[in-house]
Order: sequence, then C-alpha cells, then structure tokens
Amino acid sequence: MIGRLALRLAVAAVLLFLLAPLVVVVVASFSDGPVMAFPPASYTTRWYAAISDEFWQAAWRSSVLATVSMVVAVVVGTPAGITLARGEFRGKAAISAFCLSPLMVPALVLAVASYQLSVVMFDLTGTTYAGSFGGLVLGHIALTIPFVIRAVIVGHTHLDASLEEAARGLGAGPFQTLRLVTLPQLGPSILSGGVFAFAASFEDLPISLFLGGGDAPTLPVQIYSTVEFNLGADLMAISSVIIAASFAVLFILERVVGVEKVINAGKGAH
Amino acid sequence: MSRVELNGISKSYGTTAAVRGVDLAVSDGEFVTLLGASGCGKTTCLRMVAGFIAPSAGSILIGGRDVTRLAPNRRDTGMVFQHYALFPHMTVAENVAFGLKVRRVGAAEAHRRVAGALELVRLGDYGGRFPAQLSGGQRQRVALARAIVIEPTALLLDEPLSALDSRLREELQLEIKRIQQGLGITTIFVTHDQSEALTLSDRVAVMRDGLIEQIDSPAALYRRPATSYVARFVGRMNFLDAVVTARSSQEQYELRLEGPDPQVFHALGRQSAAFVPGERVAVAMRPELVQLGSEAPNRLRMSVEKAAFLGSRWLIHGRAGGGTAIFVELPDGGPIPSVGSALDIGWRAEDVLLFRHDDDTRSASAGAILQGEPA
Ligand SMILES: Nc1ncnc2c1ncn2[C@@H]1O[C@H](COP(=O)(O)OP(=O)(O)OP(=O)(O)O)[C@@H](O)[C@H]1O
Ligand SMILES: [Mg+2]
Repeated sequence: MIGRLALRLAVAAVLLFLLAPLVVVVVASFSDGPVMAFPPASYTTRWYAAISDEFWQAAWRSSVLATVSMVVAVVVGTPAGITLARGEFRGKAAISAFCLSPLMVPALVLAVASYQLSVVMFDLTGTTYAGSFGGLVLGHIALTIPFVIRAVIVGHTHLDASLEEAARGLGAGPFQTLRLVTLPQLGPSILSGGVFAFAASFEDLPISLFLGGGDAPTLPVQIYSTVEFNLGADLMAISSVIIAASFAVLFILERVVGVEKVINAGKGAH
Repeated sequence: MSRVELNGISKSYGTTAAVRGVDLAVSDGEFVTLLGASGCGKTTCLRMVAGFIAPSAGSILIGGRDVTRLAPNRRDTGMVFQHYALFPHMTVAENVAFGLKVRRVGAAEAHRRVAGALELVRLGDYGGRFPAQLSGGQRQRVALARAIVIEPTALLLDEPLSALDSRLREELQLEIKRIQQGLGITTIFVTHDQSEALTLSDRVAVMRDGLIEQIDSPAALYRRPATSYVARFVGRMNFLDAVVTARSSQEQYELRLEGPDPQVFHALGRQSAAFVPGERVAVAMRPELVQLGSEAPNRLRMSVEKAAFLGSRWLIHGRAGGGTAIFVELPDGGPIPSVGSALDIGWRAEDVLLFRHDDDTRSASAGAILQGEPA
C-alpha cells in the first residue's frame, strides 16, 4: 500500500520534472506582454500569427531533411542491420562498431569531421558538398543510419530463426522469405529506428550548423540564431507548434502500433 | 515414389562428430522414427534431410532425386518444428496457405486445399485466428496442416509433441498417425520418447553417438534388441552377468550366473550374436515376462525392497543374491509381495536374451529406471 503510493508519487515527480519546461513554454506562448512573464498577466494568440515566415520555411526545410534522411536511413540501414545481425564473416565486429560509431561520438565531432572532409574535398577537386542542402542530407544520413541499424540488429536477435527455416522448408526462396517473413517480423524495429532517425535529424544542430547553407537554415539553426538576439514570445509560439506536432506524431504511433512497441521494438514483438 | 535415402551421412562440427555415417532408407509411405538420447544426432540428421545443415559426407535422396546440394526450398519436404514456428503475423489460414502461395497455386485451389487441411487437423473453424490465440496443441495442428497441405514428398517432424502435456501428446500422436496413414506420406519423426516411437512407427531407428544402433519394427526392437544399449533404452530390462557353459545348438545356450550362488540358466532363441563356451555374457530379462514360484524356470531369489503401483500393474524393485538390482512387474489384482520378503522369480528360456559383455551393461539396470514406461 505504502509502496504503491510511494511509487505513484515518484512517477508523478518524474512526470512533473519532464513536463514542466514544456508547460512553461506553451503557457508563455500565450502570454500577452512585452517581455516573457510566467504566469502571464493576460492571454493572447497573437504570437502565433507573429511567427515569421523564416520559421515556417525553416520548419518545412527541417521536415523535408528529416524525412529524406529517415527514408534513406531505413532503406540502407535495414539490409545493413540484417546483414550485420545474421552474417558470419570476418571483421563483423569491427564493421558493426564502425556502423554504430556515430551513436557513440557527439554529433559535434561528426559535424567537425564532415566539415573538414568537405574542405579537403574542396582543396582536391574544387567543389564540395558543405553549404548545400545535398551536403546537409549527406551529413544527416551519416547521423541517422546507425539508429536504424541498431534497431534492426536488436530486433533481429529476438527473431525466431525457425520461422525463416519454416518458410524455406515450405518452398520460399531467400528473397521471398525476407519479404514475407523476416521483414514483417522486423516491422516494429524498423519503424522504431525510423522514428529515432527522424527525431535525430530534425533536432540536430551541430551538423546543420557546419554543413548547412547560411541562407537556408534548418529549424534548430534558425531558433538558435534567433535566441542569440532575443528570447521573444514568437519563439515560444514556434516551440509550442513543435511540441504539438510531436504529440500528434506520438498519438498517431500509439494508435497505429503502440508507442511502447516502437520504443522497445523487437524486444517482444508478439 | 517417395523414398528417402541417407547414404553414409556424416556431420562434424570442428573436431566433434554429431553424425558419423548414417545409412537409412525410408520406403514409400513408411513412418520411421529416429529415437535416441539427447545429443545423439537425431536433429542433425533430420535437418540434413530438410536442407538446413549441409552434410560433411554422404548423400541424401528424396523421391529418387539427389538433393544433397539442393537448397531447402527445392527439396519438397514438409517440416514440423518442436516450437511450432508459426508465422505470428499471419492468420491460421494464411499460415497454412504459405507453401501454396510461394508455389503460385491459384487462389481458388489454394482456398480449397487450406480448408481441407484445416478440416483434416480438426481446426476447420479456426482459419481466421492468429497463432497467439491458439493453445499449444492447436498450434501444432496448424503446423501439421501447413506441412501437409503442400503434399510434400517427405514429412519431417522434430520432437513435435515434446512441448505438450502427456494427455495432449497421446491425443496428437493418434492424429499424426491417422493423417500420415490416410495420406500415405513418407515420414521421418524424431523423438527421445520411446513410447511415442513405439506407438507411431513402422520402424524405429535407435541412434547412439551419431550412429544408428538398430533399426527394426517396434515389436522386433522390443523383443529382440540387437545390443544391450537398445535393450536398455527401449523399455525396462534386467541384466545379470554370466558365463556360457555350453551351446547345444545355434539357438540354445546353457549359462552359469556369476555371483555368490551360481545358478544355471538356459536361453533359447535367436540371440544378438554367437557366443562360445567360456565367454562372459550379459543375460537380460524383461520385468513383465517374469514368472513366480518355486517351479519357475531359470529361477532366482530376490529380496523385495520396494513396490510401486503403476495403475494396471506393480513395479517390484529388489536385489538378487549378488546384490544386482532387479525389477519385476506384476499385474494388479494378484498377490503383491511385501517389502522385506523373499520372492522366487524366473523367466522362460525363450525370454532370456544374451548380449556381449561390455561396459554398457554395467549400470544397465540402474539406468533402466530412468527411462519412461514401455508402451
Ligand atoms: N551447431 C553446432 N555446433 C557444434 N556442435 C553441434 C552443433 N549442433 C549440434 N551439435 C552437437 O552435435 C550433437 C548432436 O546434436 P543434435 O542436436 O543432433 O542432437 P539430438 O539427438 O537432436 O539431441 P536432443 O534430443 O537433445 O535434441 C550434439 O553433441 C551437439 O552438441
Ligand atoms: Mg534434437
């Protein structure tokens, strides 16, 4: 009885701790005053109307970037993950560590390294990828692929190998087995990897700072450079929009597959 | 024509040999069981037939076709796994239809055959369910339907019933036998449960250390085991040490038991080998073939240590003069000796079996009690 009460209190405290900043941001975005005040004296929605076009463009750019990165990460990372999970070949551990290394090093290191590589490339060839949307996509793919690879490897360790054998025995070739049995089993893992890949790309600041073009910032870069000059209520408004969008995505995922399943993808897919 | 032939099949993992030259011919429509202790190579053999393991040596023929180097999906076998291996994201009907789908069987015919197969395993109404919504027994029926619906040349089952409780196991044994006979499908079944092997099979291959020790009909295996290992593995068996004193014909031996009170024993019938006078042998008798009383042939006196009730009969556990453990089985309803009493027991000469004296027989009687009930 006491134990359960204590547990509930602990959960409530954690939730409060996690959600309080979000609540402050959302409430502040409706504050009708010249400076940020919490709690606000009166309420308004005018900050939402005041969100500048630059923000909307940056948000759109980031969404496209994250979507492209996620799709490429899933398309490349899924077969890579399956190969790494199942293959018996020399250097497997080393290749595996290499593929997952972006998860281990800070994004800042990845960003500096990508930028340096682009400088070397410019010196050698006179052209390079940094400063363009294409370069940004390349950098974000390097950032996001490991999320998919990791999710697929983890999901694969929970697969029942006899399912694939059963499929083969029943007459399915290797490719049919992959398509009809393995991939459907890995579905939640791949989805999970994709969601994390999207989030990693969408929120990335360092790589976008180093590789992105100055005239076409991503949303985090845009927010970052705005914050340098003022911490206005329109910033609270755009932040609230992101929070709302994130909750919408979570809600849809919950409805379609169940958030828990995505987060622990593969642990017990059924 | 759907014979399955294994010719000199071996499989080594590094320095350990899992299978060491197995020859086995399963004829059209025959039900053969690979029976043996854990680790003797049963699964390895079966998986080599299915194509999941490549043999280190030897060849495999299915329906007259050499499939040794063929991928599993080209072999036309139906496999049933111990833990069902049903596709969790597909319904029962989709699971059963899987093999037809990848064979590009038309929708109408596939539908008809799936319905027929589900009917055959008595799950006609369960097509729309998912595997997670079924009991263990039902899942294994689905797995069976999925394996037979493709009308494979050979049906392969690896301990399909070992995850089920004993009543369900017996029920499904009958189902498997009924379906196998009805379809006349060539079948290789793997189990370490001897009663299952005896119940189901046309022939049983007893495996030991990667080799087939004996392959015979269940009755022949039980009545005339080829080695003391088989004698011990299939059913219970009493073993006593003896020396051959005379051999009056090919099938007639006179023996003297070793021990403090040397008894003379007679054995009559075909034996596992030819023995010469002076040779040490292991004398073996089935517990349930015992005869009681001072008039019994090949008589011994045992001191009764324990009487266990087995339902239709009693298992009497005791010791012979030399201290050798002895088991006898008596029908319920007759007189049951009390613990501590002495019992005169004997066996007909026809029921006395002789085996080469080797290490196997040493702990033989002790080992016998670890085995399950004979069929
Ligand atoms: N992949 C492997 N690598 C090394 N040794 C193996 C491998 N697979 C099987 N073995 C060995 O081969 C022998 C036979 O194994 P197998 O699985 O065929 O036994 P089994 O008769 O099916 O036993 P059980 O009744 O326990 O299933 C065992 O000693 C096992 O340890
Ligand atoms: Mg096995």
